Amino acid sequence: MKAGLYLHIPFCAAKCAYCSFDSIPAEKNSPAIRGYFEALNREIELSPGGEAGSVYFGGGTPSFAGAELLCGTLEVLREKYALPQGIEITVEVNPGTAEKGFFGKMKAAGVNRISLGMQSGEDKVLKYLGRIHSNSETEKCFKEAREAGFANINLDLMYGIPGQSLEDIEREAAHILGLAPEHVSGYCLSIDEGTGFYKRLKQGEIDEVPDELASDMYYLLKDRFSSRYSHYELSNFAVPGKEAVHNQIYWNYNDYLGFGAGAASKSGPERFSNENDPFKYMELIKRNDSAILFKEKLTEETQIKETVFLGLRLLCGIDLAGWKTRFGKDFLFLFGKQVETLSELGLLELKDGYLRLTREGLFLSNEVFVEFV
Amino acid sequence: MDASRVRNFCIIAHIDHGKSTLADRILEQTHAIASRNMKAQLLDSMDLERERGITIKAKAVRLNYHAKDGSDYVFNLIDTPGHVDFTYEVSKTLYAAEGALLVVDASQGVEAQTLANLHLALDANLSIIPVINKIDLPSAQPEKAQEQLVELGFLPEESILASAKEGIGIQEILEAVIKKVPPPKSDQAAPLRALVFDSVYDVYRGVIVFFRVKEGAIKKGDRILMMRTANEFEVLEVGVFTPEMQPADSLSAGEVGYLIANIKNVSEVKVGDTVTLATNPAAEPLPGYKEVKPMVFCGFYPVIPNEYGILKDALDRLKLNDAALLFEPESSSALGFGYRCGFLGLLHMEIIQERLEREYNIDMIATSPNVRFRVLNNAGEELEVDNPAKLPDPGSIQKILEPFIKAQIIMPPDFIGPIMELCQGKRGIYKNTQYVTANRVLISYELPLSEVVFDFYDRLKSLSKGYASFDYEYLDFRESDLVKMDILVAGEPVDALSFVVHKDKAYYKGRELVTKLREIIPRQMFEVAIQASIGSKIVARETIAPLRKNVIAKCYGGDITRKRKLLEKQKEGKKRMKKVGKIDLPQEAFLAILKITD
Repeated sequence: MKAGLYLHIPFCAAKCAYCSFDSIPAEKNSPAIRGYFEALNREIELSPGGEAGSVYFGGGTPSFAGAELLCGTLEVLREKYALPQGIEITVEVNPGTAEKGFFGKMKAAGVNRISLGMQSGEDKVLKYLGRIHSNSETEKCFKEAREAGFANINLDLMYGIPGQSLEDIEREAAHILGLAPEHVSGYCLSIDEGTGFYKRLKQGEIDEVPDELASDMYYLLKDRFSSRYSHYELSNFAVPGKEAVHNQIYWNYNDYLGFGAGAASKSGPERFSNENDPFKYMELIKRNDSAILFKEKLTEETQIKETVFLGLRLLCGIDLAGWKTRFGKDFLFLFGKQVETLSELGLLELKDGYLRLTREGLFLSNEVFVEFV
Repeated sequence: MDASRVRNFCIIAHIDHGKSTLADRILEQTHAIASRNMKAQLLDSMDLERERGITIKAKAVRLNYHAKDGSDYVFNLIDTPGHVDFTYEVSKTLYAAEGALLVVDASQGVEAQTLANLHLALDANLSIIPVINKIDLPSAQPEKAQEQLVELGFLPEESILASAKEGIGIQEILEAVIKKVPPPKSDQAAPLRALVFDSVYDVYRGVIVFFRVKEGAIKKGDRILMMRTANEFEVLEVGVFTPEMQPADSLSAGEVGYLIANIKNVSEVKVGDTVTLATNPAAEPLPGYKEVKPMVFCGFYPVIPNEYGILKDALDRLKLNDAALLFEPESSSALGFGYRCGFLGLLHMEIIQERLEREYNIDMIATSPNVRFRVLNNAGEELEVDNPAKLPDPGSIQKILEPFIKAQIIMPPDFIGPIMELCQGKRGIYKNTQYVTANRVLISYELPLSEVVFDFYDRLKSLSKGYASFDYEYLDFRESDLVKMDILVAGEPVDALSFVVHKDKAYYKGRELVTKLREIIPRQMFEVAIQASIGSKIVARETIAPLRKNVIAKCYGGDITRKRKLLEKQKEGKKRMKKVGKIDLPQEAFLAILKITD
């Protein structure tokens, strides 16, 4: 089985106001970053190896580490894993962090997909989010990537930001359609504990966007993007054929190996993940040659639960025949009652052997998922 | 045993004034237990009691004390329940003794229960030894406490300064017990009369009855008669706690001890009953017996219908040890099958609820508490109604009566204004104001109990910043202008949300409750109307907008375990809610009425 390979680069130029990840602000080219890559490369070298189905550098901000370190890790990866010609190799880039010549070097190293953390096309929103870049920097970055020959670019868009109106989202959609990336991820802002926004929310300085408005924004984006893209996953849109290979591994419940702080892996019926804190991660790799802190044996029951709430994220839904082949059990025999109730509520539909969320069910998907866990 | 060497006494105090700690220290000082084996507050056997700092069940311990005068004495220390809900139990316990230590916290001074307990002790003719406790605390003001005690009629030199925690003054207290508490009268020739003041259930031995022999004697093998309930038993064992159980040949007039007689259920043994010999019965039982009646009621319903049986077993087991707990099956169209339970008071209710959830691990819905109403219908019949949903149709009611209590509240004078306002708002009838000392005021009110069960304690505490203390006793049933308010959710009446309210407050309460329910009930897949109605007349309405968002929009990376756990948590939350029709109602919805201020 070809595994998706995920490499976690936890460093950022600055912490954004909404970020609840274990990303840490660092100095560019600092010893901390170099030390981290040493540990990361070591972890890869010690891993079992095999054939890869996709490669994904995520963060944090991978581009902040610079082309040299990323290319180095890709080299280490190639020594250990077969990366067949043409497999998807993605690097996340934040505007304002890619040095001159970055994209050219990435392209030369075999990277063929860029995921750009645009978040918004409006400077005042970017500032509000605590992003370090302006919209013109985003556009410049996008152009550079194109000029370097990248024909598969994702733009991240955030909506549901306090103060945003439906008209703002209309403009964001038009802006993205104008740039014409191959892929768009649209995420509704969630204000998580431990973030700058959370503090301000608790102090009453900001209000969350009402659920009705957030929902309207979601469906507005869905409708606007439908002119060019296929809406293939709850939060993802792609030009047909450019659906993210790596992310589909998660949703289709296939195997993946994660390297770096906090990275998670799934190998058959086993899941494990590394220490979250980057410095403790480095220490553990140095000391034990492993930073795995959590291991879980996935029982069949757990696997069944997970395939449902992951599979239903895909708009094509769950192929019930395929599901039966996987588990040797009849889906409707197990979950007939849930399917019936949720269909009555208008959240689920069963059509041509596929079980999928209805349009209305998309933004209420947890209502569906909880019935299966 | 030589009765002149026996002293029977108990400890009375306001809650948290250090009664249990003092009992521990006395046990230690009399070598009943080595201090290294001490577990703080040994007499409180349940964890829950220890956590709450209160004692539910009184128990008696026999101690040997070698006094300064060189003689050996036998002490029977009787620990009393420490809360207003258990006034009757306290009073019976007092009748088992000749003396009482009145413990007053040196920084808190005299509180409402100090007074209430003192009056009970005086009624029982006890000799009182005032003890000012916790003098080691930096905030202690023993002189002030002493002043207050002087105003209650004690001599200044009578009060013993002590710190149970630090072991200060304990010796002095024990000597005072010998000097001031009279030995019990001992009429051993008369037919047996023993006062039952408590009982506990033990899985291995059955019911253990605590009693005080007033006249005559009792021994193993006696056939006994409970004079009030007319139950007969054969005594299998008599003895004393030291604090370990220690069988004795016999116990005679003046002594305190326990008996075991193959009794299956504490309900067969009533506190205040008189034990006599079936073969040679006394002419009259001891005076002062009262059937304990529950005053506060609520419904318990399992969240998962098939846990009904588990709830029943749990209630049965709690009942083994709690004669005051009453329950009977009831069914609610909204909540299904459950139990209507009766309690002595609010605290008693909370304890039972917590034990069901904690010890028996039952997820349940408790409906808001209410009192028992007396309804006189047009046919001239009197009905007792302990569930608001069961109140008859308004047209058939001639009048409704509700229980009133006499409330005594003690506080610093600064708080008189707000506290009186609170009592007026609760339909209170002002009786009088009395200065206990220059900075302690006692005000008395007659209040409908139904108003006290709704948010009275909490308001009292917050209005007085915790300085007011409260005690009450039951008075009588009085006619009131009451109406039943029904709550409709999505057009369907939810019987478990019905409540009875005074007509003057009905609109306000109805409006407030539907507003609260709108906040508490989670959004559903469809719009939900919440209405309050009196009879067929809708008096308030709110609408819950349909659910529009429930999504994990960002699904980065492969940390699927976390996502699964998030969903599992959501599911747990859903499971704790009660499905009424198509609507998920959380537990708080059933208690929302308690959160409405007057």
